[in-house]
Amino acid sequence: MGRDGGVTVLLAGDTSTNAMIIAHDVVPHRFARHRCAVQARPEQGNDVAQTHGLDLGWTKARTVAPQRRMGVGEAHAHHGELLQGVFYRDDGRRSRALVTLAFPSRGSRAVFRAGAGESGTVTVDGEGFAKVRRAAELTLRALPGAPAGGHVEITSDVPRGLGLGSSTSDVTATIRAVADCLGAAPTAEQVARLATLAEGACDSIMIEDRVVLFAHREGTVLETLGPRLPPMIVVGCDTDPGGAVDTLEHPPARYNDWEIGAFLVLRTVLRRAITAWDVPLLGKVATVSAQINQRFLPKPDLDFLLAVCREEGGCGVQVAHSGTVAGVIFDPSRRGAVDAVARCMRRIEDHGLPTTNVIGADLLPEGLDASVS
Amino acid sequence: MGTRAFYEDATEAYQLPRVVRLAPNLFAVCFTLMKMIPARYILRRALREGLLAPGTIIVETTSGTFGLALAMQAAQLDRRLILVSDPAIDDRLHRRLTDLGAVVERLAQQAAVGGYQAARLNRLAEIRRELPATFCPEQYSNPDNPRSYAVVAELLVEALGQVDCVVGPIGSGGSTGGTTTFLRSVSPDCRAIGVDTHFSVLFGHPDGQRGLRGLGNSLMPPSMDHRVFDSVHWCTAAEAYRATRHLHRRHALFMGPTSGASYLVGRWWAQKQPGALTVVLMPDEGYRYLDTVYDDEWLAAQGYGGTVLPDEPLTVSDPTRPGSRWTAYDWGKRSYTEVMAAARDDLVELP
Repeated sequence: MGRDGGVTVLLAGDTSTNAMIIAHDVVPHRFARHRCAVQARPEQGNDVAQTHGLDLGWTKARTVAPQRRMGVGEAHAHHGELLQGVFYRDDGRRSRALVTLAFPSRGSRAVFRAGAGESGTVTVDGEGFAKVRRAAELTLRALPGAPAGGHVEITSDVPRGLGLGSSTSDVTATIRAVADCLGAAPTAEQVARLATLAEGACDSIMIEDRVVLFAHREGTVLETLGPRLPPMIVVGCDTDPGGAVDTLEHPPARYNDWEIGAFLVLRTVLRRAITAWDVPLLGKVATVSAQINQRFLPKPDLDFLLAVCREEGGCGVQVAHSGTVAGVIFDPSRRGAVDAVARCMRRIEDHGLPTTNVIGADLLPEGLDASVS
Repeated sequence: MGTRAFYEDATEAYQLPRVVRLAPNLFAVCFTLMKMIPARYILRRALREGLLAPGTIIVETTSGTFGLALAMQAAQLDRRLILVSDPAIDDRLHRRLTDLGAVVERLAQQAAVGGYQAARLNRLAEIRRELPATFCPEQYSNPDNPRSYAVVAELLVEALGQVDCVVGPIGSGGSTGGTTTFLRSVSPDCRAIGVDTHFSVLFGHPDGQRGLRGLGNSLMPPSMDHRVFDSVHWCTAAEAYRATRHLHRRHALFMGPTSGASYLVGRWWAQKQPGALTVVLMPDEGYRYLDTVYDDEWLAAQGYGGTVLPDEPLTVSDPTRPGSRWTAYDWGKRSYTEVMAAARDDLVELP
């Protein structure tokens, strides 16, 4: 999968916005096509889900259309997290959880063709699609009346290994495609639980209508923090050009008691920042989360990004806690935000880091084009 | 977190404070029993880690509210509790502790060095040697004490957003130190003002007779992190009592004298810094002090007459010399060793 050094723009907090706002995307998207065939054993019904201790309840999934030979699903990428740590559930138990920063201008599209893999052989066009196959199989087994198997074809423009959620968008698109084929309309939570089952852990890109604190290993929502993120601009970059992180190979962070206490406070502050549309406050939370994560997956250039953020009047720095991307957060309502964002991008590129995206550039009154060119 | 319809148990119900506005930029954080926070955190952790089996006896040295918090926990957990206290423990508290099933051992003799507190620690070690299975929360050296206050920081942030200054009475340094440390995770500039009393060793005074109880210490708590504090204030008993009564008369807040001492300092700071949001930690309520702080005759007999609050502290440059009125010292987030070394150097420079 080619790495994209181009500068793109997307809007945080509004997942309906797409690549139309990428006004200065200098490198055309390199879409990669992958195909894999899936053989499932539908006679097992919900067994797979049940052996994993999950009752997906998909027998209750709403059926909205008759079964077809083909289904299509889409899912967008993310740009790491605003917060990741260990948090308390209402029952007092603790769960690892995160708040995803959506990246709606990149994503995956899956096409599922029923019955195509009935020979029992699985062919994969390209490497690393075991999770997609697993997602398709699990979805087929979870749905009543599913066909024996099928083909999945993935089209994606999400760079791999940077923490942009490439595999999660593949997996989510696949689950949606299979469900679409069967005329089922699973809830976002049902998709989330299936995605974590297929992947082990994933961000909450499938929950698009609100901002959630998401237990990324369980696929459940700890709390809805608000309807959407405040309008903000995020200048994204890859902090380790050429390097890549295997999300699942990376050992889970072992937080100490002070950090777990701090997460209590950070969660509350983030809830407040989202409710009040307070981008500076949100930026502080993201920065602390990024700094805590330095003990586990250090970003060598975090200090540089924090300095740029401080000097250009940014609000904070967010990171992919199990990837290499990071972003400097700006408040678009602040005077001079256009120039600050442009200077920030230039400084990051001068430092030798490829910028990945500028999330939310259309929020700037004059747009970003003039100052970038 | 969802809205809770009821509390799981009394100790949960007692743990969180009410946040009450006293002035546009000044808030009181009123606890029924603040020490419930570390007591609950430490015992629940011990339970989780298997350190508190059914036969294990909880032992601790205290003559204050930490003992009450432990006794409430012990009653609920069905564990035995032995508390070693000095004679200063008041009768009402003693009755309440024993009603909760705690065994309270009152020491009659002070130790040669460290007063009753050292004697209590010696006796505690003795008890632990005699019993097969004990658990001691060790509030003065247990890092879980400051760590337990994350819930207070969480509540303050939820209720107030940005907090610029925390004022609190210092006994172990846990509440003010812990709360401020957690608040600083998102607000690094949040100030911590410690409130102590003269002849307490916590911030450099020599140990001596102290009228004001519930804050200050004769021994240095091993877990105390002095680098949290921006400044320290020393109050006299008379000033603290007057402020306690003022808080009650003016704001109808019925709190104990350590709350009064903190209120005195917090009120002054909030007036001086109108743009900053100040919170004052108020650790317990007034019931225990009805026959003392809230009794005019008792106050007069002790020589604590008068109702006028001093307007401002006397700023001192030597933290090692006790005074006879409200004093303040710019601690500057330094370690104890640093401050004491600087104080010694200053002395040498005197003619």
